Amino acid sequence: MKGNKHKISFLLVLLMILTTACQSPTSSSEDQTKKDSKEVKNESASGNDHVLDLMIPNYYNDVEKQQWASVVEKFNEINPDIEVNITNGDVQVESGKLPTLLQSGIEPPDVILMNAGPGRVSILSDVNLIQPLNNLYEKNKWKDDLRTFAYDLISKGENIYEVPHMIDTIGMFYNKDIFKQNGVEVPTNKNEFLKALQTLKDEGVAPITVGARNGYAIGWIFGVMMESVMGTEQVEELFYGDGKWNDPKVVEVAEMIADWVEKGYITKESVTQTQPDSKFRFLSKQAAIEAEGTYLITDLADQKLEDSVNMFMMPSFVDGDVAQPVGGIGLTWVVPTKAKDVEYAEKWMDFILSEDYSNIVLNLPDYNFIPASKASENIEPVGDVLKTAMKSIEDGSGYNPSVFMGVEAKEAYYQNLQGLVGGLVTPQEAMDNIEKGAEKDRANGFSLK
Amino acid sequence: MTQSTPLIEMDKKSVVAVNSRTKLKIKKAITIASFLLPGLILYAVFMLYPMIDAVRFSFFDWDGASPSMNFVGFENYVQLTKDDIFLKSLGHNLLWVLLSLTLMVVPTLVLAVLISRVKKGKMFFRAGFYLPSVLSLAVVGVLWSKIYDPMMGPINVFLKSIGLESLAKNWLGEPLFVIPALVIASTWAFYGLYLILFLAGLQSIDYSLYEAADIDGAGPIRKFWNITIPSLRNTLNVVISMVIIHALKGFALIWIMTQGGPFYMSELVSTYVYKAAFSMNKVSYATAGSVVLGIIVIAFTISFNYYRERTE
Repeated sequence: MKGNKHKISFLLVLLMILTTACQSPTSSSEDQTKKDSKEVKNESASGNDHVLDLMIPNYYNDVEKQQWASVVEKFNEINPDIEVNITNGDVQVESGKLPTLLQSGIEPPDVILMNAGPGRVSILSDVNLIQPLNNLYEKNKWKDDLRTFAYDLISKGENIYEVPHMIDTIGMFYNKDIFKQNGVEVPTNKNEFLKALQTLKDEGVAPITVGARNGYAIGWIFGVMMESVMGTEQVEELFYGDGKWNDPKVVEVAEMIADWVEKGYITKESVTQTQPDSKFRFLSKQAAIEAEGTYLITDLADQKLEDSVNMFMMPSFVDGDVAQPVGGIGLTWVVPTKAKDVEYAEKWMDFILSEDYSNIVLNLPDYNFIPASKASENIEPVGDVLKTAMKSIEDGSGYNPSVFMGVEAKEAYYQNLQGLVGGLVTPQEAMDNIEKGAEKDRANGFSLK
Repeated sequence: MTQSTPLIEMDKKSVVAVNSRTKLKIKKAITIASFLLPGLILYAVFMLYPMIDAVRFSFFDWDGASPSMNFVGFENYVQLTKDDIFLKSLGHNLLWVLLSLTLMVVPTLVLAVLISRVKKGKMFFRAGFYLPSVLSLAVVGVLWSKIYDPMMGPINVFLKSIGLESLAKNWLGEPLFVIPALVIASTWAFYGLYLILFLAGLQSIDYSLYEAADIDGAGPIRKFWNITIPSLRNTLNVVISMVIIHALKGFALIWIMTQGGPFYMSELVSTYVYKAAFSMNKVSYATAGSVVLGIIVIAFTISFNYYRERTE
């Protein structure tokens, strides 16, 4: 009997070992990550056990990494008792990685810098994966610290879930050398713009490159075109009013992009080109123009192209109107519901809205974002491209549609714009499909009004 | 008294015998359990429980994070029948199965036969052809994306260099080519496994059958058709089942190369449900889609095996 007991005990131990050994690799690596993270924290505990865990997007390049190091250094100068632990990752809701991370039960970071927009943030807030920040706004008077435009965009609902990090400014980046070689000037009106595209095409230069394989990138250029053709107010009507995606004016924009593909201003092959590939084509002078945000600035610095590239806003096609750069809030800070050190997250977000932060970043010649804080309004950035961008949003900003759409409409938007570039769907059908998605969103309760 | 003693002794003996039989049975049961339990527990925890839970979720309207959810019965399934993109994805899955069977089974079998005939360097060919199977799917995806690149990809560069520019296509961007292009990439990534199965099957064929056929004057095609194929019947069944299952649940390669685009042209059920669950918070709807796919996979596998057993 005693022997049997030993055998049973042995079997149970063996079973436990097997169960542990056969755990999924993901689980093992998570354990390892947790262990590593604990080790880092324990190390820091020797002198400091206050650790703020930040999650930010993957660095585009080393320039950006250095910029973040400067920012963290400044934060540590002000808050010497808090150690900042940065993790990089995919912070896009569309890829599903951020919602999955927050749903997984793993201890989340204290604060996350994610791709912004009501259509994105609401995916997390609707299911309580991030927490409302109303109390923090009241306590720290963050409303007064934010640019009015930024605050207005995030405060439409009952609760505020985010602290805007930067204002997106998407326009047409162009290669000055290519323009000069082909006798093209920066266009100031519709005719000049279309003539410039035709000239470049006739000279054998690819006028515009687009990474349409990534929905957000084809969304950038379409947003820029909407702003030019429809004007800010009419675009606004789509998100905050009764506008429909299949209204004739929006269909006109869809027809224009299809026409540009037809005429060779945008290559049909762009349908399978990724945004990084498109950026590579632009930076290596294989195309003259790319619709991009100011994020490109660090790449320009990284590749020593600051003097060769600048940006302009696509001229308005509406008589007497001036087109604004499109955007909204590009990146925004959110606090996971399960965050353990909200107090540190609060200090961090307060720092981001401070003059100290703006002074640090805007004095970096290769800094690529326009801070969302009011403090930044009176500081002139050192970098030329960012200077142009900041000047262009002085009178406000247009709308990057991807940021303001519900999930169904956005998926339809990305797929149908790809379809337009690939010649797989007619402009009218594409816009009808997007409108169907928007209708589903409205039926599910999505509204920015 | 004297008569009852042997009876008691007999009773004692029978009790001891029963006890030892019971002990033996318990011992046997423990031994069997010790072999079965580790696998069964893992299977139950990581397969059965999630599967049953997925079926349960498909009857609710859960968004993936809310603490509460409402029972909606078959509503998610009804919605799926009206969802054009889901139905399109199912169609793509079926096309994927057909193309996979065509591209995976026959060429791999022919290749296995050719390798088995090689007299010198058999190991080299086996290892060489198996090589793609050891690569991660992420690597395979990026590699084939570059191969299919319409501007810089080697296929189009080659076609253009020999004057066949009209044949240079945007392989991942045109409706007619995108799924076949993805299936070719998938075939390249997985054929090594099936090749090994076929090679193992070929080794088990009795060589005297070929000798007898030689004496009867049978040619190589006749031998292949009348000896090799029937002898590989079991291997073929396994391979075909695996190809069908794999084709129906394929995800990683498509996600890396096209994410279901352009314009849903390469959307499969797996990519569609992933987007629904993790990008759109429609977890229950996505699980309903997965359950439908699961039922199709099971139905395919059972039907195929039933057909195989009947024809045997």
